[in-house]
Amino acid sequence: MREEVVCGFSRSRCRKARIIKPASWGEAVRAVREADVILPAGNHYSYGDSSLNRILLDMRGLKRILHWDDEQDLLTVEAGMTLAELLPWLLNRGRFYLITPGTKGITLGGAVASNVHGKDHHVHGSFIHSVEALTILHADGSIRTYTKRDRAFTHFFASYGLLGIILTVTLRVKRIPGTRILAEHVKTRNLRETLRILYRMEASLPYTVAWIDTSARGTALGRGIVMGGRFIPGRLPLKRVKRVPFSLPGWVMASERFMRFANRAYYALQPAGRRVESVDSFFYPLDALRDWNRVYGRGFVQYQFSVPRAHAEAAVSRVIKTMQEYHLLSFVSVLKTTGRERLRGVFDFTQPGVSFAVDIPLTNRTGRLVEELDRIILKHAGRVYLTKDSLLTPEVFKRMYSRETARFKRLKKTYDPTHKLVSDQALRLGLIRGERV
Amino acid sequence: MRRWEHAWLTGATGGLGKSIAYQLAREKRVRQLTLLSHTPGEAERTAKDLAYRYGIQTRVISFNAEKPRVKALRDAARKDMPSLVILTHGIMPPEDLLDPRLAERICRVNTLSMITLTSILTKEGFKGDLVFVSSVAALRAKQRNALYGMSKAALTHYAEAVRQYGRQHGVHVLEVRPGILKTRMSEHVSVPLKEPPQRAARHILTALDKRKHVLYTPGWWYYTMLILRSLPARVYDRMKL
Repeated sequence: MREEVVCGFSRSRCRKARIIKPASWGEAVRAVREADVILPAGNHYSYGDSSLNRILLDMRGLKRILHWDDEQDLLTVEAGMTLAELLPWLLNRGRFYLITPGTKGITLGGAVASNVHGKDHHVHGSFIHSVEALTILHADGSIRTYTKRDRAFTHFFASYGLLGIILTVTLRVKRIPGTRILAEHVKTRNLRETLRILYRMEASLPYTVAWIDTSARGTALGRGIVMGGRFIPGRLPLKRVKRVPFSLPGWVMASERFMRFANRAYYALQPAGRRVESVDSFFYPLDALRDWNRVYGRGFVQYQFSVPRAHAEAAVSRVIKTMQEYHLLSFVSVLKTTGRERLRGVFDFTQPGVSFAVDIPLTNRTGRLVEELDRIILKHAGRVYLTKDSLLTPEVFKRMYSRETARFKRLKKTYDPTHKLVSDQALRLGLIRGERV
Repeated sequence: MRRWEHAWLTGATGGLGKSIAYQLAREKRVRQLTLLSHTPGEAERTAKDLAYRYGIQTRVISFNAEKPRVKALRDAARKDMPSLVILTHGIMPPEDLLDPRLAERICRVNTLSMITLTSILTKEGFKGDLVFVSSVAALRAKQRNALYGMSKAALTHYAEAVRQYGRQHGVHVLEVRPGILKTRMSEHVSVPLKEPPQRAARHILTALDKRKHVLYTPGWWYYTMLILRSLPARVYDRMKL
């Protein structure tokens, strides 16, 4: 056991934590039985404080492949495996994740705990739809396996490790014709056009997403680049990652002038049209720079929300305008359409409509800006993604997730009546009563 | 690089054993690997992972070093005799010098079980490489872990004898004397310069390639122990180690 300072991915929330890293299931069970509070943790890619706690159970030591069914395309892996570590193994067998988020740094356990989504949300939905079974280590130290047919199966998705610790995940993977992606890039002139092309692409391509130039104003507001793609035969190797070896001083990314320049340059320099891309460049562009979060220096806040389709244009344009009023621009700004879903996790933020994510550098204006954004989102029946959140207040949270909170409290009573599984975020949002220590 | 058809490995769920297992599999040094473990469920998961990742055959035999089931082990050896046996298991609990029960338990696990395995294998006609993982603690006693050191000293002694026996019987013995490894076992010992088990595993396999008889890992322990062993009692006893 060691004591260390751990941070969320955006480096805006850090704390000292005791870390227990089990190397076997037995050690994990013992740690859970002995602890008064504990929280499972993966690779700390959630942005805020949803993976922070006084005592952490670092699951990254448990990453074995336990079963592979070549005919059914089913793979059982321990939850500490990251998508990146598993990826070469899958590609060698001509398979790929049915659902993958925009980073491969996360662990499978984290993918379940946040019920992540990807560029194919409009087709397959969130991560839960690629999972067939879970093995859960409960707060009392017992171990149980849940398959899709069990009613309790959904309780462990988007519940952020607060209802049980994920030991194994049985994934459904998909067969791909090759490791190349034929990608289409379309430059748009304003938000209306961006949304129109996104909706159009959605009908024909399994993967779609749009990057938004948050510096554009007036008639060009919401312009960006819409990207879509699909797998085609042929092989392209995975890339080696480069590292960001230092932190930039905080003012660089916080300066409006620099961000305006960066946004415009990206918009101008990205060529439109069709081209072939690799798995890495298409799905995980940001992973190419390891520790890219360090460019923000002091840290940043990532803000992601979803709104129903009818509110899409109004909400997104209002959010961009508000950011411009505060002179805080985002570079990684991603707009994605989200579809209807069969299975729902506990705190799923997605709804049929769109999701929009922005990075906001951490300055003394950031708190006020985020409050303002929360108000806008609430007005548009929207919800904030908890994996990225670090500033939500209990009041706003309750209005966004009132039904879910009531359900969560009932489930918490069943699975963990003594409130052993606790996170800083759960305490901050009033999900679990208590003081952050 | 030497390869073996079939290997037995004990302690495969622990730090050093696990590292050796993965190294053997990754380098395709064995076609078949049998893990002997007192937690068969856990060993089974490691075995599956080795098989799926590296395409070797793996198997698990339940093995409780405190009470080895001789018949089951003999049957397993008879059915499928290994050509490489690596005995890495061992315990190092917090000690009390004056606790005979603890002394017995430590000796059972660290020494007697190894003797049992060696005798079963050689009686069934084992030929090949036999690796004992002893310790630098075998070479000079210290009050803090005297019982552990005693069990390892006995093992070192035994391994030397087996080496002489093996000369005529086609058994090559490698006795490993690791320093302090960065594993669960030494978690409660706070010293600098702990060696990562992966590196120790690599040293062990290289030593097998070179058909060494005794291996210190890391190597500087040889000189350290040379000095410590040559110290007179009145000096050594007063040293705080």
